[in-house]
Amino acid sequence: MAGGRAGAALSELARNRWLLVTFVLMSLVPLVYPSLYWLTVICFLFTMGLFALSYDLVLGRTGVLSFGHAAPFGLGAYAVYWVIQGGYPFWLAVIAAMLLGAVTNVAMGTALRRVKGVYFAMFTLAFAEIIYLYLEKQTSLTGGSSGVFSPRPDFLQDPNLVYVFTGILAVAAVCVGCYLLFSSRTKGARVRAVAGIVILACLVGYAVYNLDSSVLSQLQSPITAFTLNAYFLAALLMFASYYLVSRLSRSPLGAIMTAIRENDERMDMVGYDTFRYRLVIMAVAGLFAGLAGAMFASLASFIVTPDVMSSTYTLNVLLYSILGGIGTLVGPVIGAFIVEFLHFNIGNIGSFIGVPSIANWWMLIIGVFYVAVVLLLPYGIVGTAMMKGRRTIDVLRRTLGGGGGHG
Amino acid sequence: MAEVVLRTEGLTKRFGEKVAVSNVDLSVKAGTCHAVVGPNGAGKSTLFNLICGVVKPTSGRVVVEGKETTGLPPHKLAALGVGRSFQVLSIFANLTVLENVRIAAQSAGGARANLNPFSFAYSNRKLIDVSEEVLGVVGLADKSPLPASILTPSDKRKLDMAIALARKPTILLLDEPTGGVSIEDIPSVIEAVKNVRRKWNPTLLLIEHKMEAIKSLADYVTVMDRGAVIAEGTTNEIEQDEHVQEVYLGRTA
Amino acid sequence: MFENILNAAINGFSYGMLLFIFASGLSIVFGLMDVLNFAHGAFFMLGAYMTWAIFSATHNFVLALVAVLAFGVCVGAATEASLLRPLYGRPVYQILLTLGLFFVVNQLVLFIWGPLGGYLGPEDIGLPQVINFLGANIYLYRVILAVAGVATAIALYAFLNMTNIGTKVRAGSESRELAEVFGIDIKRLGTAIFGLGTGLAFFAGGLAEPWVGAVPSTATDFLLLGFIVVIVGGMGSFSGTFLGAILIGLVYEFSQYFLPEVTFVAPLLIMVVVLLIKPSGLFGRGKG
Repeated sequence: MAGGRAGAALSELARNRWLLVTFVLMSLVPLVYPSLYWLTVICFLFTMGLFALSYDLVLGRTGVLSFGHAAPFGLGAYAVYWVIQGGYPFWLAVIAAMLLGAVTNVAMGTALRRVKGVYFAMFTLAFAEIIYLYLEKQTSLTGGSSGVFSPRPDFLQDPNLVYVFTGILAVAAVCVGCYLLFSSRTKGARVRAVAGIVILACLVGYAVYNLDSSVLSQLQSPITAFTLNAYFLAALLMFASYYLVSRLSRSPLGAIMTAIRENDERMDMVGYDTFRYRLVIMAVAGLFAGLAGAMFASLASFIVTPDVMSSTYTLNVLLYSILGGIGTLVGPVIGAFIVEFLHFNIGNIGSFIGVPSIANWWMLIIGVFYVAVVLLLPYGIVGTAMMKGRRTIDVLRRTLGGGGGHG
Repeated sequence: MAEVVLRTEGLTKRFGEKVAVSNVDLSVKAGTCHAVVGPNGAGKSTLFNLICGVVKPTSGRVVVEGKETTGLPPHKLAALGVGRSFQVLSIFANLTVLENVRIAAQSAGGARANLNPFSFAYSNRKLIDVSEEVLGVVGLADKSPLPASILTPSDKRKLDMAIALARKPTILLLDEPTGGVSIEDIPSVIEAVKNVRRKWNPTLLLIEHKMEAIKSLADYVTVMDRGAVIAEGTTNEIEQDEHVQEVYLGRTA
Repeated sequence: MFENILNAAINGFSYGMLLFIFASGLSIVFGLMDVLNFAHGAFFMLGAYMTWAIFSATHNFVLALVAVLAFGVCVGAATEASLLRPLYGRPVYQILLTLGLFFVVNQLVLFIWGPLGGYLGPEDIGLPQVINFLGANIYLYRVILAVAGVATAIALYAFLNMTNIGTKVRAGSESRELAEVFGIDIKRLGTAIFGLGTGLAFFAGGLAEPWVGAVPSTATDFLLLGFIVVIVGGMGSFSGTFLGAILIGLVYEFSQYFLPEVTFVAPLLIMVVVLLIKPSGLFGRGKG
């Protein structure tokens, strides 16, 4: 009997098909365009995307304005460093980073009992700044302003791991292919399904053909192996986290978050201890922020400086969120990709338009971004697209009550 | 003789110099509808806030079904079966009508169910059924997929009530259920309240201004003025009380 | 030792006066509009740089201060009318806008004047750097600054309590709803308040120039301290901001002299403690 468990799994697959497709496509990138530089850049984008996702849980989904989100992120990054310095295995470091992130965020969240809104925001700003200022001085712990070398886990330099990842990728691709094939009811859908499979096969074929002349042949070099493995791991972690967060937002806790954002006083009156639930959200967001920090330290950077805990990163994640659209989950991730991609390429763009020194004025560009987004695109890219592209009821059903900016 | 399910003893609330509620003794019997009336500023909403835990009393007690609830936070009162609707509408404007009630009903599941990350909230059949039942009783069943923000004022009132009913409360506090409702729509709101009584027979405590509503719904009336109770009795008795008429009609805004 | 303590005390008080002028602008804007004006710090910096520029051209310090104050009021009013007004009713977005403005103004200043900044010493405006008082060397300008600060406080107090416009500003800062009840045009009042607040920021920047200098880091430093003062003193409370500024100024200067590592941590900790214990501020009766 194909119902029950199998049916549920299949519908879950169907609901997340775009996530899976994107994962497969992103994972094919190293095989199709194997530039080590770009792979490192995209790896960084995954990290910041996860960071942005964790912030959307706090601001977008629950409506809590936190100016201290860099704290769980930065502490997560350093946690990995400290644990690996201590000689413990990588997986333990990641767990430590996530736990430290959760604890930090919950510590900030306890102030919600006393203060709300803008006052809470100032509290979080001060909290994170104090941590930053203190740790910056502890040179033995953090390396001071010059930082420490990123703790790169050894097992990621193993070239054989690339094949493991490729295996996972193949399984995912097969899932996508199967889904496309078996779920198509109409003729049009079937045609699209076959077209999709053909494209997929072509990409894989090209990659395999490219194998000899491509990066895979240089796999014996630890840098190459590391870059590839880091890329795959980052992609895996980011997409898996996105799935978990998306799943969470459809769970009772997710519905509670959205309702708290809408009307927290009424939520108290109908029986929810909103303070406790907010703390739970802060913990979950802290877990993912810590994971992003861990990814940053071990996969996406060369050095880790105390800067990761400073307001710079909080400001960045705030920008990703409003650019993408707070509350949409996917919006902030896209916002992160856009901003950071621009950041990496600003030099090239500058040269192209004849203003080569524009890279020095990145902060000015960020400022202009802020002003422009707030005035022109308050619902963010994804938020605005959602409002325009569909009937209002449909929008509400999908975004489940969130998806817009609330003052 | 019906038992008393909600009782206050000497309930008093002071905000600095001002006494909002002064030494109120209230006794509400099971299954009855008890109206609290009085001119603006008489302390009626503050009384509700005190009973529901939104505000802590300066002195006095609140006893619900024999249990002392003085000073408990609002979410604990809800768990004890006390539901409340609001004078200033308090709904989830950007959620659908169904979701407004469903999320309220979900709170009955307790922390363990609510923190389960693997279950699906929006497709929970049990909660949806309960919500649709409640919406049916207040007369909003056909509007359940609509966003709450586009409802008419009287429908919003009904929704506010429906949210309070989601957990099937044994004691229901309605704060001006006909507030802001146009004259033509008042009968339908009153009918909704009557439906609720017919279906579940909760104990009702009602703040109201409109005589029409009071006469058709209330069994007993407590009259307040400037924080204190000045008269109490059955609806008929109060209607004929001259002192009350003077106080009330003379100063209703 | 005595000299250090005396200097720390004077510096603390006069730095506090600077902070007061700066923070009062923040406080009245927050009181009426619920907006944390992040751009305030950048305006402060712009005021400092402009004062230096005008002085370099005219050699008249007082003229520079007045010009900068007037310019600040205009810039503030224009900013509010064009950028903040469309976001009325959405304070979070207004805050984000001011954040963006902070970076834009900050970077523009750097673009125009370069990364080195300008320093205007007291000698340039015709005063000795140091004088001898009770056997200790103290910095004269800071004393003058303290006096100027008190004078400004008195002027501000007079303005808020005795003039028509001032009373409206005060009413609006304390309770927007109440002001509306009294028939005050909130939108126009908002423009006026933001203008006044920004003018104060520019003015504080100008006054600070001979001491702090026009250097790039002033914007963030002052902004952070300004927020701390406003929260510690109590939003919307004049006396609260005044006393809070003195407190933070003293803490800041004493740390600089005796325990430099905690210079910023100490004020931050004070703010954290105040937020947890008495969110409406140590001296204020504002919204908590």
